[in-house]
Amino acid sequence: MSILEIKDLKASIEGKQVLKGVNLTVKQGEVHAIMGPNGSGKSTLSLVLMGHPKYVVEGGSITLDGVDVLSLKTDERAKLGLFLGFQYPVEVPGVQLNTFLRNIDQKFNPENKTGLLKFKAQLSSNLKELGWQDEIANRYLNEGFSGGEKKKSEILQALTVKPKFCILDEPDSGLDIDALKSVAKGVSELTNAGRIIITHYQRILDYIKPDKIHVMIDGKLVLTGDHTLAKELEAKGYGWIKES
Amino acid sequence: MVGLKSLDPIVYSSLREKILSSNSRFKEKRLEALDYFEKNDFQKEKDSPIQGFYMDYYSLPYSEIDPSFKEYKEFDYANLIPFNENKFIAFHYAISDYKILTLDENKEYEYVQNSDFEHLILKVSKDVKASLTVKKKGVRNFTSLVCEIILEENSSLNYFDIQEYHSDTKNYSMKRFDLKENSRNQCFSYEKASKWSVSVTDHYFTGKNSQGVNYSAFIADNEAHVDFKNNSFHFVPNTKNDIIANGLCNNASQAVSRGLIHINKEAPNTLSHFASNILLLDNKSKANALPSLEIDNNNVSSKHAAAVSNVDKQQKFYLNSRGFGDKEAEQLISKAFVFKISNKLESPFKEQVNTFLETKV
Repeated sequence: MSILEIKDLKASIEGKQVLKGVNLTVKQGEVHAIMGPNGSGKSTLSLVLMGHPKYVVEGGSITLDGVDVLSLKTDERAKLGLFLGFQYPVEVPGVQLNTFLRNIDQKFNPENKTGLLKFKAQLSSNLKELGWQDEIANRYLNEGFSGGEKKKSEILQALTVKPKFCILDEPDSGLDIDALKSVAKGVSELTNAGRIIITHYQRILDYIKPDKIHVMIDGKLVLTGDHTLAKELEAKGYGWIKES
Repeated sequence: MVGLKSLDPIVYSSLREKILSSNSRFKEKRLEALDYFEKNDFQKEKDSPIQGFYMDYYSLPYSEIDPSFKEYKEFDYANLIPFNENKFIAFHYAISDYKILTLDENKEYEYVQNSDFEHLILKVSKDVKASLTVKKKGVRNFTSLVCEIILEENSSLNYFDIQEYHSDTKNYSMKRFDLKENSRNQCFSYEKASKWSVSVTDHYFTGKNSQGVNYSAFIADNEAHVDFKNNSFHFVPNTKNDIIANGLCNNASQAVSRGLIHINKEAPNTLSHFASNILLLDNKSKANALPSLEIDNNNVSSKHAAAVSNVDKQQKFYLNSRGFGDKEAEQLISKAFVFKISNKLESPFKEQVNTFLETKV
């Protein structure tokens, strides 16, 4: 079983420390949710995990099955098994979604040696899972996609990559009820992956039951609880944690 | 070795003699063009990042200048591009072979450049729907290919221009389309730029309800220099043109992409757009994109846009996060930059162009 371990992680951007000692251990197959007020460092954590060049790691460690993640470049981290579902996925006009997915399928699942027909069948099934028609895959990667479609596109890519660990930054933002259900269904399909879901709202957790919920405040995970913590946070906000 | 800025007197008299002693039916015009070339300066192009692009001209071995004066008798002297349009054209007129190709069947045609200086006159017959691929290749010192393409009434053409000269070739390429009533032209130009390239594509809309699409992609690599021009001239009502010129610059290459939309007073209901984007893949490359408008009628729609940019860091990080290494990510972004234009073409022309581009970009 794979393990992702983050120990005393400190990171800054443009001289300002954002992460001030994050500790988190996620096992393959587990679902962790990270909640917290705006600006507490949740998205920073996801970007530092993936090696965004703007962030400077000032201390601590990240290991995946003992491998030092921080010493790897972003693409190497992806190949090691980390996947980031972006809060704001970028558009890449000119790259068709289906061609891109075929590309990453060959990159991440070389042992499959998936034939084109098998790939198409798998793609079709994943699209259906997300409530999409096949035609959407002919569009350019994220170009002109609505907020909800972009989130679905991230899940579709995760389903193709089949990562060991998946960090999903606000996969529920901008989604209507049906889209939320589709995304939640897609996330649930990633059973072999350890999933870290960053969210502001409890509603996605109605569909994906997390093993643990963590609260991040001012660059640290200050509280951990079970799935009931989400309801408590929804009712009481974060003020009481800050005060205590 | 002689310079093209002005000819050595010996070379000049030798060329003059060759023209006089030839059987060319256009001796006088050729001599007139040669004199024009000799007496006039290159036009100074403003705002080019390419210093001295026109003025400090390159040398040309005399042995390369060997006009064979191939002329097709069936066709009168070309007149869509006048010899005194500029200094390059004048030189070209003086020494080029003249060829004619009439596209009078609904089929795919191919034309391959044979000699260094060629002037091709193309006519798409009335009501014909044809495709033409023009291939310009090979190791040449200096070369020019000028095409005059006349689309007769109700004709339709898919024009695929492929330019892949050796990287040391200096070249001047020009094509000018004359679109008669209800004709339609879909043009895609691919150019692998060489040391010194000037490429001009003009659309003349002279017939009502004529329509053009003019997409192009150039790739400038290894210190290539390219001046890319796409112009649209609207002379009559209800015409339409869409120009997109995208280019990639890598390894200290330099490029300028120009575009002019000219709409006459007598051309209401014109719809004409120009867009150009150049992607710089290293920090030694330089580029400018320079669109301009000349509009003499209020009842028209015209837009222009141009941008020069580096590889988008967010796009690159996104692709990195999907397992693409730095170089691979840049390649994918570059490829996308070209394919997003070709994918706008209509089928089956789109598939033809994309199949070609897959092997090149």
